[in-house]
Amino acid sequence: MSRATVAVYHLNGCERCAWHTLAIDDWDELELIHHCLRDGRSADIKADIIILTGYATERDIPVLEQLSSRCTRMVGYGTCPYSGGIFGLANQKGADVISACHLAGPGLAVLGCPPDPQELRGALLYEHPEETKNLCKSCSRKMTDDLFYNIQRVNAIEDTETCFNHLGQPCSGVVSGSCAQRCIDFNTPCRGCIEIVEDPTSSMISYFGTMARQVEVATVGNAWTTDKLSDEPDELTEGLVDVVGTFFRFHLATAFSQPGRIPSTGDIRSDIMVGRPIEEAVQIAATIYGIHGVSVALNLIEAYETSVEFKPSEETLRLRASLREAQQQILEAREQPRYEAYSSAMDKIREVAGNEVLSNLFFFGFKTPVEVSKSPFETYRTKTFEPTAVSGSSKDEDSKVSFATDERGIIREWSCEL
Amino acid sequence: MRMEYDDRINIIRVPCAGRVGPRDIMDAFDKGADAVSVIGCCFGACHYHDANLVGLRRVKILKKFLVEMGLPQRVLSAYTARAAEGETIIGDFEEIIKLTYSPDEDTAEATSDE
Repeated sequence: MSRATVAVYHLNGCERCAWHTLAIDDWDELELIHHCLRDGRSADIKADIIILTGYATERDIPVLEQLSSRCTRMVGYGTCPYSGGIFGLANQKGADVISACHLAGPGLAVLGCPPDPQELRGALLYEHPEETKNLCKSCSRKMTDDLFYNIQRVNAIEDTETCFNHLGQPCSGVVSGSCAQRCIDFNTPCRGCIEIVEDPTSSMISYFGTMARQVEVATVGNAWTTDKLSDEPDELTEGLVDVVGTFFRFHLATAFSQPGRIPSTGDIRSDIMVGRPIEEAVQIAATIYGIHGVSVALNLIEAYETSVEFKPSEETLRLRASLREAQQQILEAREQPRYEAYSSAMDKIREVAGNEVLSNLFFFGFKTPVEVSKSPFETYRTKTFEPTAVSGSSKDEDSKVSFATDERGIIREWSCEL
Repeated sequence: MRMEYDDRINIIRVPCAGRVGPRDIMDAFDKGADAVSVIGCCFGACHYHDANLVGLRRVKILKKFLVEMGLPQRVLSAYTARAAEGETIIGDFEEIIKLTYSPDEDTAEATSDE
């Protein structure tokens, strides 16, 4: 029996998912005949199955139409081809990121940012891949009956027992599927990369609005009305400093069709970073910069720590150095891209930073104990983090990051050279 | 309503202000609405205990979203009115139409916090 042929086409964005699809080489049932990282980015490919990775813009529509006519099945890998993914956040600044899967016709999408290659294998080889379960079913935190009275911005390091939403931190786990990265295990609320309900963003806003019914919302009376919603900031909007990045992180391109009117900085990654709160910036940077994510995230952390004059402990520095070392392995493998090189380096990163989007990394240390570390957690844990106005820059051999935040801790300037 | 109001206003009847979710409001903008107003019962007079307060918070979060996207504050409003307060609603309609269709006066209003 001849094996089904597979080609991988990477549209735009970080190349993390493209690296994942190199795993097809090891599967006996499929034959990888063309891979964008190895054979160049060419749309002139023909295969039984074409796998799309990365986000699409309106410029890519002709390519997508051409690709869909050259295969029997088109599969999206990652959240980006499905809903624009995290790169859809650039639509806030007037970009035109669109969903590639909806254009490519009825296909299949393996969701996650990034997903597990084994999920792709299940989706390609079996008729009915396993149904995705809700993330809350596998979360160790407990839901309570309590309502919260104020919204917490910075990750609640102290309480690891109660559901984030009951602590006043939006966590999209209630509308999302269980995933390969499991940010919730590292004291980080879910941002919903796996969609399992229709229209997760508005469901989540409705849910959080209901939960926040004890939070003060400003009203005002005018000549006509007695109680009118005020335009002024109140406790609700002061707590939710970045609604776009919190509720719409992976779904902005499909959830709201009007383009944003915020002026663009010219670079799509800077557009994504500007406007995000500093406490979310580490994870977002690690996500959008793909295989350079470790270096960019660590530079961001070090620039912040330098500007607030904090000296990290030796154990923290040692763990960070091991992360940089693991990233170097991936960068060195770029000449001859193989999945083993990527996965062995990623295993090392996962041991320290938790997952591929570095959920365990934070300013001043780590969010949860690192298993490979011999030292007690107290020596490298996160100190109390208060968002303040900072600006700084830092560089290593892979990237150079400089940024500035306003007094509410929201990034206003961002530049990163790879 | 048995009162005269501008024909650019389209009234959509809902059972409760808490019924109006973010998707309904975003759909209205997608279908070409210039502004959306959510009108609910007075505070403390909710038939469903506190649905108007819940609805108000949902609208406020969505309003923050629209402002972050670069839309002006005036495109979404929410307020309370009794059944006998037809004049309140007409008055607010006039205000919204004035803000939406007279760009000269509009510029001062269209401030965003971004």
